[in-house]
Amino acid sequence: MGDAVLELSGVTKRYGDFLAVDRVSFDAPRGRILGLLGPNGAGKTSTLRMILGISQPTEGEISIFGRAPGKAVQRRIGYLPEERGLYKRMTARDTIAYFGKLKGMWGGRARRRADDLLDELGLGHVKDRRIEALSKGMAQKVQLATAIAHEPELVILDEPFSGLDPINQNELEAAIRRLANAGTTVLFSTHTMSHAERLCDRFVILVKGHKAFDGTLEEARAEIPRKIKLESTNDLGFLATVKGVTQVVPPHDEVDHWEIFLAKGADPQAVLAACFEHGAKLTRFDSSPPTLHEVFVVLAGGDVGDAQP
Amino acid sequence: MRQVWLIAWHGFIQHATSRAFMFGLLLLPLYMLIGGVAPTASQAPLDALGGSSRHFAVVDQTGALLPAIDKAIERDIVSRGLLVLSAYADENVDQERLREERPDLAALLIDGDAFSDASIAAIAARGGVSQTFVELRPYLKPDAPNFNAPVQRFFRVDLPDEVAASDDVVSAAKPYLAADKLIPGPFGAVSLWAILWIPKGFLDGTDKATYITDDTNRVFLREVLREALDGELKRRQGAALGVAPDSTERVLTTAGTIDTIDPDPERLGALSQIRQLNVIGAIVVYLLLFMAVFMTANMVVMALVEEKSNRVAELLLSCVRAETLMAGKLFTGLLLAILLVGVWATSALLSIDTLFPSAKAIIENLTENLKNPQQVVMLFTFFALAYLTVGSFFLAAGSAATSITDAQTIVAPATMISIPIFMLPIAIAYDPMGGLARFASYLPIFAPFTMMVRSLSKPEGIDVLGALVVSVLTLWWMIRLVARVFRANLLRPDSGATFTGFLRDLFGGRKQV
Repeated sequence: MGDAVLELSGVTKRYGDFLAVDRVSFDAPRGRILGLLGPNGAGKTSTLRMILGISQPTEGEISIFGRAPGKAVQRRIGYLPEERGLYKRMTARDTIAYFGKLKGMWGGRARRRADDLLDELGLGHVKDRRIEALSKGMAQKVQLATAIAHEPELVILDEPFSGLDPINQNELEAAIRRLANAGTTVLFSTHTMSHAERLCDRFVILVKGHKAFDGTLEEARAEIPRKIKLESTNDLGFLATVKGVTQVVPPHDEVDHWEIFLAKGADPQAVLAACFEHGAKLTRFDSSPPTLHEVFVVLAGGDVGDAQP
Repeated sequence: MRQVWLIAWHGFIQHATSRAFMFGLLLLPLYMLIGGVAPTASQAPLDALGGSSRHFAVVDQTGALLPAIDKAIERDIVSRGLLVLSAYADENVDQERLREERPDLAALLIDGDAFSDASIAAIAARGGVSQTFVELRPYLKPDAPNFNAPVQRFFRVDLPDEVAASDDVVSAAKPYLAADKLIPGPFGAVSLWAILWIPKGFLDGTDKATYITDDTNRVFLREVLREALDGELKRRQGAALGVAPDSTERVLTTAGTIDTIDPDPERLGALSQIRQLNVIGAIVVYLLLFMAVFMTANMVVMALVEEKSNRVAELLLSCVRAETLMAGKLFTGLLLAILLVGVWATSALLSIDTLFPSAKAIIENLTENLKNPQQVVMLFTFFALAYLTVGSFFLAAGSAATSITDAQTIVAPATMISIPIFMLPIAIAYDPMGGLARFASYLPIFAPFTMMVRSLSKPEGIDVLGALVVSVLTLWWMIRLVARVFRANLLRPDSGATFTGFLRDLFGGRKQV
């Protein structure tokens, strides 16, 4: 953990009697993308606000660049809040430059940086347009630019993809990858698993304030039983006797294929071999690893709220 | 500090370029313009109805008193002219040279009693006020303004025949007195102000004269007429008793002279003209500053509520500390307040020539009172302290609200509570050196407001220092309380803020978010 930019240790946050975050610990290695996943109300935003120093933990410690959150590290962090808000009457360029200056940049450099970022995000033609005259996607890109204008070492993005159309989501994904490639550590929260699956090196899954998982995608997949999807006109009940198979579920009202659950470490090829041995004709054999959404559903105990695949 | 300035300047530009602020900024100069032009514009129609001139008629059934009345009106013209000319000479004449070269004029206009019959007779003997001014002109100072002799205010007109011949004069004259009908005047049709009805038995004391008017409050004309009849009756009584007319005249024109001395001209006791100007000027300045304080504090609160509701506040808090944000917001309001007061003061000074005379006199007196730079600094310092005290309280209220309605729920009672803070300095304007003024200078929260008024006079140094210490300590205490509420409430999502809940937050010490 020596190269960790961010470390949380037993962090708890209470609002009166409500426990928002419960003894959460994790770290974010330098130059990596860390996903903070969980349904609404899981404690993601509370955790991010504590990391930013906007609110204080009730218990536990947070360390950013080896220091407590606050003024000393504020300029090394960029933040994109969940609910977007910018000054409607300001131009895109002035908005980015203003927040850049608040983070310690000087006027001329902040304005040049604003121009560069707007060009980079494909908004060069609207740099002098007021925020109120921009589309939602454009405004969201401007908001991202305000978060990274001062070239922070750690960027925290709270639900960055919400409200964006697929094209803008792809562009935002690309921008986040560029940041990571440039050595910036990115921590983003989301309840859309596909983005996290594509982008993140590591995940932390929060459920009702608790940390339910912390690790890589492979580690996440290994957390739940492997499942094979089979389609056949034959009865595949014999697979229950195959070594490593823990459960065989025939098609039913909700699922139109057979589901074969394997024990941890079991080889899917053994199932395929057994089918050949019994002369079963297969029209589908899908042994692809579980998606992050499936992992998430299992870890969240079915309480996935508004989490999306 | 740079971040405070960035937030303050950004907020200032955002507000100062908004239409709502520009409207508020320019509304007062517009009122000044209207206030300056309206009296002049309204003079023409007023004149058509008689204006400041009063037209009256006399029904003299004795057939003997009209000459005395006409003479009294003539005397009124001269006496008013003498008063104005004396005041003009007092300010605009090289008095030393006048005394040396024209001792008669100096005795009449500078050293004489402008109210005495002798002086009035002397002016009349010289051919009136205008002719006397011609004699005075060589002794005027180079920058002396034009002299405007007062115009005649009372004109006697003839009653229409149907009124004069009526048995019931009051009823017959009613449409004329109510200005429903006009009568011919010396320069066109006019409304009738009053009728003096003198019955036959007036001269022998069996009947009283009657003054008929629909405005019984303004009695100048009635007094002039009463004196005229009174004097004439005494003359006739003297003649009936065998007193020589000269002797009667001497008795009637003999009057005691009273000189006036003010032992403490600086103290606002009796309301001399200059004192009135001081009081009114202090109240006007205080009201403007108070208005600027509350107007800008409200604007900053509303902007904060908007930033809180659209989550810009969260973004700002990721860049700066809550205290820095609060300080920036406070200074935004101060810059706006300075801009407001600056524009208002400048427009008042620029429009001074077009303002109506009383407003002009107030502004001239104010600029005279504020010639000392120390007083200007004092006024600005206490204005800034007053704003920061009110502004920080309002900001805390804004941070506790999640909507404009919430903010109003909190701010409205707070504004009502602040009424005594608003009222006390107005009372103090009447006696800025008195015991109440000195006491209020040491009262927390009241001190900067009190000193805004007192800065226009010359308060004692110890009071200034005391008020400064009290104001700064109050502000420090207020900011400490308010900063905690601001920090705790800024990102709190719950709605339905109440004033009592806010006070609990402020004084009870809610835990930080």
